Amino acid sequence: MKEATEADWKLLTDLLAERFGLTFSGARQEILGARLRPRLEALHLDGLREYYHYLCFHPGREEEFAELTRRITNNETYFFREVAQVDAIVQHVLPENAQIMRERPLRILSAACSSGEEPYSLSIRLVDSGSELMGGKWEIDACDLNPARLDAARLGVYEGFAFRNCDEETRRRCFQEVEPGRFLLRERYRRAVRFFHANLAAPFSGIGWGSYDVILCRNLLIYFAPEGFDRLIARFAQLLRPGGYLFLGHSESLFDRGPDFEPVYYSDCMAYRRIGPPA
Amino acid sequence: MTSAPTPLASRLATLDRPEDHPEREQLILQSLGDHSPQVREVAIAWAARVLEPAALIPLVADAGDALLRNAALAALERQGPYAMEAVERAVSAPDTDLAMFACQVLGSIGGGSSGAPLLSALGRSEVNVIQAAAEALGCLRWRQAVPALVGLLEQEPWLQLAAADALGAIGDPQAAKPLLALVPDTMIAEPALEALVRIASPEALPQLLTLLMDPRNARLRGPLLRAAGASLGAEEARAAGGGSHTPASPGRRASHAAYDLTAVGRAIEADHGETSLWQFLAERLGGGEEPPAPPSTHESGDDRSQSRSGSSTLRAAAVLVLAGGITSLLPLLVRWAEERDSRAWVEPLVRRYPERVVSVAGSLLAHPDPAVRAGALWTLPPAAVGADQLRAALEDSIPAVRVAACRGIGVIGDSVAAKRLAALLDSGSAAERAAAAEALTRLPQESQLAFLAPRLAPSTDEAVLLAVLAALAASPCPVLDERVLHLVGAVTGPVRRGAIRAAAMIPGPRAEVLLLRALADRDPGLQVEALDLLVGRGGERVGTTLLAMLGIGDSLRYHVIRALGRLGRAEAVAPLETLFTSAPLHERIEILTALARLGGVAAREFLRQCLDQAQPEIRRVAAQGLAALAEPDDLDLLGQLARDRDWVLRSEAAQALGRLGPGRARPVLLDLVRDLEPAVARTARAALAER
Repeated sequence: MKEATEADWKLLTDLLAERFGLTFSGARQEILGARLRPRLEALHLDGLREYYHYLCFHPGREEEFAELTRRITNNETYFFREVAQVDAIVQHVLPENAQIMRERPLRILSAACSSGEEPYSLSIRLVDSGSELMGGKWEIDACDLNPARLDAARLGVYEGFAFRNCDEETRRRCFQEVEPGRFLLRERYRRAVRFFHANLAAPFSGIGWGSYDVILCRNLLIYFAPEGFDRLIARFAQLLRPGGYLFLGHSESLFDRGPDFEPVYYSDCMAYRRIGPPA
Repeated sequence: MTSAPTPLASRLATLDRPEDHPEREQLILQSLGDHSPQVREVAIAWAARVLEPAALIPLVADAGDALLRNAALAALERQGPYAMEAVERAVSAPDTDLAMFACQVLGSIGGGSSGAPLLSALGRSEVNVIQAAAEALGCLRWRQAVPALVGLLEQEPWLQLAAADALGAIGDPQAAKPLLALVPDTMIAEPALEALVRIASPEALPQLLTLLMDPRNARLRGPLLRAAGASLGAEEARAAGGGSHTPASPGRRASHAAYDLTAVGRAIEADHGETSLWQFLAERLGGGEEPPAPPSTHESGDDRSQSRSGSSTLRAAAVLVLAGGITSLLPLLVRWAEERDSRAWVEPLVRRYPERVVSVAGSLLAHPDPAVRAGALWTLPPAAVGADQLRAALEDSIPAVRVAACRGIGVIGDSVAAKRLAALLDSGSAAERAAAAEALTRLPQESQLAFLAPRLAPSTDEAVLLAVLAALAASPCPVLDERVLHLVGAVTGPVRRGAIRAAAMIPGPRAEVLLLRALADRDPGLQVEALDLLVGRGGERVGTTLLAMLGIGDSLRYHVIRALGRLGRAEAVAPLETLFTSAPLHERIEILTALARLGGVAAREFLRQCLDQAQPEIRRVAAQGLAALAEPDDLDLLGQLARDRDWVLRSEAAQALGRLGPGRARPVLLDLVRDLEPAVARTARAALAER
């Protein structure tokens, strides 16, 4: 395998940033190199420049991009991760929208949902809140770049690691053990979540259906270059109705990122509220 | 009245082409202090490109605007060697801040010529400047600074800290003794030990061991152990004549009769108490976590930084256990070898002290922990274990132990165990199948014929057959060649693939013909694999066949073009050039890459002509090829590439100039160092550093 030059890395990572909005620098570049090595071997390529040429010009490039999404996305997630935000939706956003929810479903988007733990955690909490009993309706759309993760999400079967922040009582109540160590989320929690494929970095692809009251996009923007970050936030601003909420990962911030959002502070977390008319 | 700030996009757009701006310098200087990081980043790139260091240095002295100062520093760092002379002069400036920042910039540029001015800065009176100079000398690893840095070890703690870190980075053994004098009772005992880890001086070993054995120094055990382990490793390497794997004689070291490692080992073995050194070593070997060492100001990607990681504590503990013969801890050590990744460091280490492990082989192989049994089998010389013990291990209840035993049986070639190996091949786990097959290929021919030949049949269970073929691809057995060649025509793809891999190891025309036929296999992946294997074998017929295949316009041609480049056959140049005009873009790119591999006058001329093409990627690949083929006489061509509007071409020029290294290229590289594209600038900087 040929040692990659500065130019090789830049060409490839610029291409990935353009295509997926993701940045790869420092240690992430090393991780990317390690993840790509098996692909280079499988394609009988000698180095990153050849792989770059393959992705840009080879007739099989679209299949390879699809393969690439399985390798470059960080799929780490689990049930009730950063649960304070999920609780904030149930405790604050739901009561605030109680009237609306009797007229139409509260619309929630879980962006970059990976294998579904985030939207399903929310679904569990929303069902448990009993808002349906009071006539409240809600629906969750969930998207990801990686089709394999979406397939896993639709399947709804999870193993040990996914439950590291899920108490035993919830696991027993909401999941059914289908084989030793593998648990299927019960249908009542799955049915309100609709999964779809989306590349959040692609400028013209659609994201979901219509406008949303809540968008969760957690721990994705940390991988985005500044331009991609701004572009995606602008799209979220378009998708959210005025007064809607955007929840980001705890290390992601909209500070100094434009006039569309204002911070809202809850006891254990924060969110951003869409202000002004939709763009 | 102040005017409203220009919107960000507009400010960025203005900076987009400052060369067209009537007051270019003013615009850049103003933008260096812009409140937006995005604007500043662009301005820094332009400042590095078009402003002289003399224009930037006064900004560094301006204490009134931190944004502007930091941006100017970043621009100077980016100019690198181009700014070096001017920054070196700034080191002696009367302004304290300017001198300090100049030292920092020189440290980050890293040019050897900066050593002298930095050394003179150590004689200044301001602590900040001295500290920055010491840190920069560490970055430069400038050995002449060692005496002056040692002198700083007697100054105030901030300077001691900077000096210790710099001395560690430089790695000169002269510094070992003064650093040891700071251990254990000073504030910087730990940084001093971390420096000693990096210095790895055998001369420091006796004192380090004495300190390590002293229970009063328990809080420093981690760094003391790492420093002792590094020193011991360096001494072993020296004793072995520079790092060979000659077994070391345990116990008393020839070079340091003042201490006896066996006695050290006995002393450690004597106390297994809760707070004892034995317990500390046991925890490290058992995988116990230790707080990471403090970060250094000289972080780098080399193994020096690696040596400060937790794993270096584990390795140091392992060295001490082996060198001191601490038998009771050997199980904890050898169990690491059970895991493949760890085996890479455990095996060579144990091989240096074979008698330590061999003397307790019986107890290790009978250990209740299967990881210890497996680890022992991986680390002990199989001959020392003996056929009886290895055969017994083949019957172990744990698969990992049986796998390790297979490998030992293979090494000693024990045909008595062949039947058991065959049984593991037929019914063991995947790892056992692979290990058993590999062992069987190493047994005498009679065993191969008796146990492998019958399994090389299409009717054999596919998992077994594939394991045998994989073993034969790694270690051919001539008595089985006929059967392997027969399987190249197998029905299932995986078996055909396994068979062509094994067949590629068989010399002679029959195997070659079968591999050539595999180029037309119904599985496209297998075609490409066959092509790779053929190229690896080389040969007249392969080249001729591949040239003929250029006329076939299917998806394999892309790989054929690449293969012709790798084969290095000069007669391929003309047909490839002919194909270029009609080939699709992805093949044209590969044709140019192949021509660059083939070289020669015609190929170079063709690549040169391609620089005039409109398609950017064609120009890039042609430039890449020309840069790879460039010779010292090609400076004009490389200069042309260095001035190209496309950054990739400029980067190729920098890469080639770094490889060629003629002095005449320095002005070109100094220009590229200030390139707006950071990747080009970094390549040029690395090229200049290679001189």
